[in-house]
Amino acid sequence: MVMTKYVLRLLPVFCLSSLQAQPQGIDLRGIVADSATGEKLPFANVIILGTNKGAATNINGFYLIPNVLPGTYEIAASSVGYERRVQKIIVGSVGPLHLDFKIPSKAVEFSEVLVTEKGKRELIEINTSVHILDQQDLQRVPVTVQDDIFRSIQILPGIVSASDVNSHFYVRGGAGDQNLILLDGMKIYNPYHAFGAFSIFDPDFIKTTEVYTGAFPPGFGGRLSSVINLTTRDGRATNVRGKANINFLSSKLQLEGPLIGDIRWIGSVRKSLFKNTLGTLYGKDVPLSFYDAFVKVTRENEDYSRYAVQGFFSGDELISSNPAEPDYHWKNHAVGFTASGLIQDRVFVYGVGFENYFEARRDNKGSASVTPASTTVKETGLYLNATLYTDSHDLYFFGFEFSFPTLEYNLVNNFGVRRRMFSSYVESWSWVRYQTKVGDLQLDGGIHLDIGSLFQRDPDLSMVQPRLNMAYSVIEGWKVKGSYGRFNQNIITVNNEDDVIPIFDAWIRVPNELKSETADHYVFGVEGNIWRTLSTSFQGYYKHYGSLVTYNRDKVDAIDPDYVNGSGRSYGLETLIRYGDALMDLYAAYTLGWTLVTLKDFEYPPRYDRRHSINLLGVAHLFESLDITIRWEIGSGFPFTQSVGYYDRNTFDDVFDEPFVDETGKPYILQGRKNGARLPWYHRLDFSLTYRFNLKVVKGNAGLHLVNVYDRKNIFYFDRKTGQRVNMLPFFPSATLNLEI
Amino acid sequence: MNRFICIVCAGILVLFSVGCDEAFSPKGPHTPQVVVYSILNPKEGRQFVRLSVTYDVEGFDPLTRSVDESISGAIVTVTQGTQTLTFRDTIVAREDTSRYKTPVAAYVADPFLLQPGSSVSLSINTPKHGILTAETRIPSRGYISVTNAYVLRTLGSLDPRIVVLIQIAPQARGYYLRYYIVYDVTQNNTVRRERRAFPQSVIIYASTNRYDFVYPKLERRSAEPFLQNLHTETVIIDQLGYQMVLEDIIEQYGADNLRFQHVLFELIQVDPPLYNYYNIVNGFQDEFSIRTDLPDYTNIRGGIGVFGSFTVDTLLVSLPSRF
Repeated sequence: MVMTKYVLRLLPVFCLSSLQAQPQGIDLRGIVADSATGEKLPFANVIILGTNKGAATNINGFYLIPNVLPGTYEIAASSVGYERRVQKIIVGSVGPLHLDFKIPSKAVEFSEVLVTEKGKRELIEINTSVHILDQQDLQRVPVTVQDDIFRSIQILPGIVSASDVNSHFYVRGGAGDQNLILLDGMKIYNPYHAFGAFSIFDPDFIKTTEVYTGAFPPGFGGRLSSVINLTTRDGRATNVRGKANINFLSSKLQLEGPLIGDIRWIGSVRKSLFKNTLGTLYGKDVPLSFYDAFVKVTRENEDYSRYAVQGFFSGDELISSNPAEPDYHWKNHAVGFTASGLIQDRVFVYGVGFENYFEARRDNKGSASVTPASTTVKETGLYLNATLYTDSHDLYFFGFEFSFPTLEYNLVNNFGVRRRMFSSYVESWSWVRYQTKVGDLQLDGGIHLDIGSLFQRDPDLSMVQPRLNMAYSVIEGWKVKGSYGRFNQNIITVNNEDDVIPIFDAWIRVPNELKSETADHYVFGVEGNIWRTLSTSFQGYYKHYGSLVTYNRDKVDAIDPDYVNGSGRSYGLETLIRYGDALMDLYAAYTLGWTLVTLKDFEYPPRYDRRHSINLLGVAHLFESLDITIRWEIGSGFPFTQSVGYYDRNTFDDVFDEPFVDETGKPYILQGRKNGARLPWYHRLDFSLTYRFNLKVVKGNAGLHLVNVYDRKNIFYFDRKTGQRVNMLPFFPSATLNLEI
Repeated sequence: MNRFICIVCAGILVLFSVGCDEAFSPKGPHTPQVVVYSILNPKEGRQFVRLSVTYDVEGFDPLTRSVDESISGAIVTVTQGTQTLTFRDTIVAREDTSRYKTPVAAYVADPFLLQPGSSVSLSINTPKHGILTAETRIPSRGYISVTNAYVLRTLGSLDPRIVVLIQIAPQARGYYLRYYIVYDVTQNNTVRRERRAFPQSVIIYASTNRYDFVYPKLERRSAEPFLQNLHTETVIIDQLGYQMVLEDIIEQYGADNLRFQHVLFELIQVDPPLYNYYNIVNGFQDEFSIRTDLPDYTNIRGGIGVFGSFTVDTLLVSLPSRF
């Protein structure tokens, strides 16, 4: 409430400051693109040298520097992993002036990427909790068997994974269903292959991955913890190229190139090879198979307008030969249409229309331990965001999103009764956002409104969500940052809270009688360069979950709901240190965190509460074409509930007719305090050796990867009924081969 | 620099030596607890308290435990109003001897007459496990009335419902209303009394010409108690079910061999501990639940199990001897 008042007071100040500047010059605008492929470069910096004026490109590589006075200037464009290019221009009195940059990529120097340029790039960002990863960043992280986006982002501070064989992740104490996954603006509900072993997105068609671990800006909503915003590549504008990859898990083929005129395309297909590789090499029957495919056609016009149609399709199957074991089927697809461009001189619009579909099905066959179940999510939506550039270099953003989710969950419950939970409703959000700079203080604030909830449940203040990010340059290269944001979430996944591995994520809408899940994020941080090759970042966060949907521990009978509103909090400290020189690059991230869920007077840590999390990554550039990468991940144990004995529990079947006293009862496992104990520490050392080569027209790299070098027996799960212990990945060598023509 | 390299190498060596395997058990330390079961039953003149202890086994199969360790030497007392009774040791034949061969060791008070509406405190003092206590309030007497009893006396009545009003005591959290047709059957010159329950409703599947009877179950009172007032619930019974059972009895034995006596309504009022325990161990009695966990309940301070009570009231609605 106090924060809302504060933001409302500040808004007129922002507006006044933007109006005070008088237009005297003309606008400079253009595109920054890769000189070889024509791929537009987001987050590139365009600066008028000798002035403090500049702009960053948006997700389409577009920039606009308003109100440039007549004169002769040198304009520099730079981006991570690219050469800096400077062009001289003469600005007259008639505008706007168009200036495009085509900048060449350079041989990757990891130290520069990690420490210098990226450090600068992040420093100019106001947000406290954003990480931007491009393809090169993703390729740095040693792979388990194949590149994976979600595996890669788990080296970031504040993000923890549940296991080696599961790329589900938890951000700053948030649950796994609190992450918003966007692919070109299309929501993806269950982006995992193979029980969550890795993501369904092939990193080769991803251009940029934005990871917001907290206090994300207006424009993103509907989830409490994080946003993973993936932007795909458009394909090459110059010539048709192909890329092939084979590893122990899958093979893939990617083709891209120009089509007709300004139209270009990219297509990628990936198919599992479990049966062929693991079956042959290790003699293991792996009844799992998957595929995914992506296709995108883009047209770009000289007036900066751009249209794209994209489709993503994936499927998984686990067909067990054992009739007593269940079969699983997953299907995921999303199709979308993207349009963007200038609709007025200074108004840039980006819009996405999409439809997605997710289906998961469990056929229990002869299994006695699970029942049949299925879940589907179907959603059609429209997202539109406009950016208004002002004379004073301030930016206004405003937009809306409408979507029509239909959620269905079918199951046979413990009673053997078939249940169907169905909901179809409208979600709509709107937002305004304002960015300004006052001296050394940068401000980025706004309001995100959950309009849809106004019509569907009792209105409350959680629907009005102020967001504010502030950054203050203390001294050159050092910033102090603070953020606040309020968030809500109307859909959740249901599964047993104590499942070690959530195989079956069923989405349901938060029941109308319950409040939406809500969270307030508070983040404070300091970051900067200690010296040119060493940058650091410290952040502290506190998240207050005003409302969470949890098991109703007081449920006694059918009248009591299964779920009730609880609350929670998570807090912690994150440190990130990056060092790089010509020979090696080092990356160290440490997170100290606490997460607690409260239901009435009962408080417990959820199963993903990890106290300490350390990620160390080192890359040695021994030769120009040879890199050695070592990653060491260490984490304190996750909570679990101990079994502390048994007793013979009477069911009192005939208590009203017969004496109860002669009943023997059935053994019941006595459990200790919920999540009151901790699993052993997790740690794993991975090693990768990558050799790059050129063979005439073929460019490629070969990799040797050693997973879990010292064969640590990390516990994956145990079955408390049978005592069976299953460990995570053992020592596991693998190899990859990438070829590009 | 050399020192740094040495430290790193030493660290890696330590890691290799300790890192490979780490013993782990999902089991925590087992502290034996007393398990108490006692349900005060108004139909019985004697009441039981059963004591046992929690246990652990080698491995993870509890069925490997084949000896039921009872607690002997405990001092078990109940206090009802001003009266305190001490239970004595006894042995009860076990219903199912497939796992434990020995009879059930229990404590009994005989006679122990329950006073509906009274509070009863249980105290157990065991030599090894200390003192355990629990309380129950026995529900007061309830009342049953049938507003349209004529429906019961008419075969093929046009009134589709049998309306029963019941009054629930403030101490009761739930109730269970059961109903039976009571009749005498004459076969081979022998008369015997039988009763047959009839359902609350009938679900008819028109497409298959099948039907299912839905019998009553333990229900929660619809409103929380207000002072010491009796609370009235209305129970609607589908007359069709009654008719179908009645016709089935006639068809089975023949009208000439039957003498119908009455319809017995039996109202069981259940106190909160027994109500909670009964529902929780039976999956919340919620066939619509999507929960997959199996929680537990106890009202025993210092132990686990349940100490509860219920009362039974009846109403007889006389029937014509023949339909």
